[in-house]
Amino acid sequence: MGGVARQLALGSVAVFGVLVVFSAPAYAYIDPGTGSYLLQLLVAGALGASVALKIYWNQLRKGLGRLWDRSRRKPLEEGDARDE
Amino acid sequence: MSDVPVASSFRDPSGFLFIRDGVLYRQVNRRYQEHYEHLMGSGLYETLAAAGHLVRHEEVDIAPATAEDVYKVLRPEPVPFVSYPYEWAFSALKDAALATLAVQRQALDYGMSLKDASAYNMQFLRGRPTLIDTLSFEVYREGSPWVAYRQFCQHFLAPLALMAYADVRASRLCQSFIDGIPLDLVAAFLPRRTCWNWRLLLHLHWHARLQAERGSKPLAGGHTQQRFSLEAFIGLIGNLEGTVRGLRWEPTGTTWAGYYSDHSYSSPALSHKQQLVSHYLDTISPASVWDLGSNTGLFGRIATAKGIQTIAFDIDPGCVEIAYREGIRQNDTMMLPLVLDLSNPSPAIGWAHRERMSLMERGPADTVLALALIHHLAIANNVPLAAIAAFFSAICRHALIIEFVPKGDPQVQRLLATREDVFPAYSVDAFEREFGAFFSIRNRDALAESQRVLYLMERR
Repeated sequence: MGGVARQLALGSVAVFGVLVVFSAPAYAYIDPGTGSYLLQLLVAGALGASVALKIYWNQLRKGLGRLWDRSRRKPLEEGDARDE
Repeated sequence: MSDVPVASSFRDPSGFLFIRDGVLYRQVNRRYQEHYEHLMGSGLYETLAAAGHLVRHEEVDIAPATAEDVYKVLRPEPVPFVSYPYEWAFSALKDAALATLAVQRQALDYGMSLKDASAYNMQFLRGRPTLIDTLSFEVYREGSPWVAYRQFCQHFLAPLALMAYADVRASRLCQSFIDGIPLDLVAAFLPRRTCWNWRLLLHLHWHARLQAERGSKPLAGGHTQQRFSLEAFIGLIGNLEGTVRGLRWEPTGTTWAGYYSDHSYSSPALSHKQQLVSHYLDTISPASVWDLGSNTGLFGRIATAKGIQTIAFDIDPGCVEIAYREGIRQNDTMMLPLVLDLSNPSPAIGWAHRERMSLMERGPADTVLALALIHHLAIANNVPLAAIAAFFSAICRHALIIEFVPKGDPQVQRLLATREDVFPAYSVDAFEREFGAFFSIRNRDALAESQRVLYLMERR
């Protein structure tokens, strides 16, 4: 494994616990480029984790926002016990 | 019935373009059937076409160009003027990159993916970048990385980064490298500070190094398969979007960007010229205009306001950037501003010189507008008046609106200030004689508060 690949692989393992292994490119009429393919595989863990984190963060924010809204509305809507 | 295959349409075995009786068709081959059916059946086509991201087409019942392997024949909406990435403004290339990623993001939502990301697949339709290759999609099978990642980086990210961080004129490199700028070249030209931008470090610098280390060797065997998950794919597209959005360039300090505010145009002269151009356009009602030396598109905008498709060419990337942004701001869908050096116009390039058309092959325009241009060609570039007249007659079908700028004009004096006047033949009489060989003069108007003359000429 070359220098950049090794650095990235070690980084991925250290940060995301992802073991990097290789898959063969699918059929394509253009050359996907071995280096270009490898780079994506090396950072796959980080990319996937960033998307997962974003989803959790958005859900958390939405949840907190809902709680915050409810606590602010409560005094005005005391008689209204309906929940969403 | 004679079919002319489109010379640039040979790489993808999914199908090809051909022209029959002046109409463009796309033949879809049998091998692409599964992907085409998914594109049309999943709703992806309609979603993208409605958003203006994908060119519309209709299926037609005509004889195919070749009988073997045929599945369908499509008639795509024609692109009024084909332009190339080395002619686009910085923001136009950036918008085309973002549109490509938006298409890919949407495709993933519908279970498809782009199998190529060529900048030549994007064309400006109604002022916005639109994917014109209906066969660019394939059914997405989770597990593999993006096959078009290398192409996207070379076709879009590489020139954008060079334009933003090195020199805006670097987009001309796209003309020399038809499959995008090699990443090792980009990494060598980019300033070292770009390594502190972790996205550019990843997609350009490390990408270049990995390409150099791996070359064209196949991926090492003996490893268990690593899946490139859908989440990773979405993350990659989002990351590329962030990288592209982060690249900025402001049109300051280029030669012509402040022309109208900095130079000697008195406002009566300018408004007189605007009135005359408007009047001439009303007289001839052209179907299309090429505005050569358009600056920021001030006069071309007179044509677009009348609903005339106008291509505004200028040598200065700053002016073209301003014209492009102004078009977006005004929602002017009729103007396409492009960078063009008239002394060295875009050549025919690619395989057998036939993949990307020269400027001349994309003409002629119905009408050409050449305002405050002739002295740059005749004096700054030493082109004889007869050769200029012959060139204009070759690129316009019908009419020419041209301004003659005499030697006494301050702008010509500026050009002559640092050089010997070797242009004894540059005069209004010689101009009328040489252009008279190709055109008949329909109107001749002296411009207010100047020695300049505006002409409306019609081709003989």
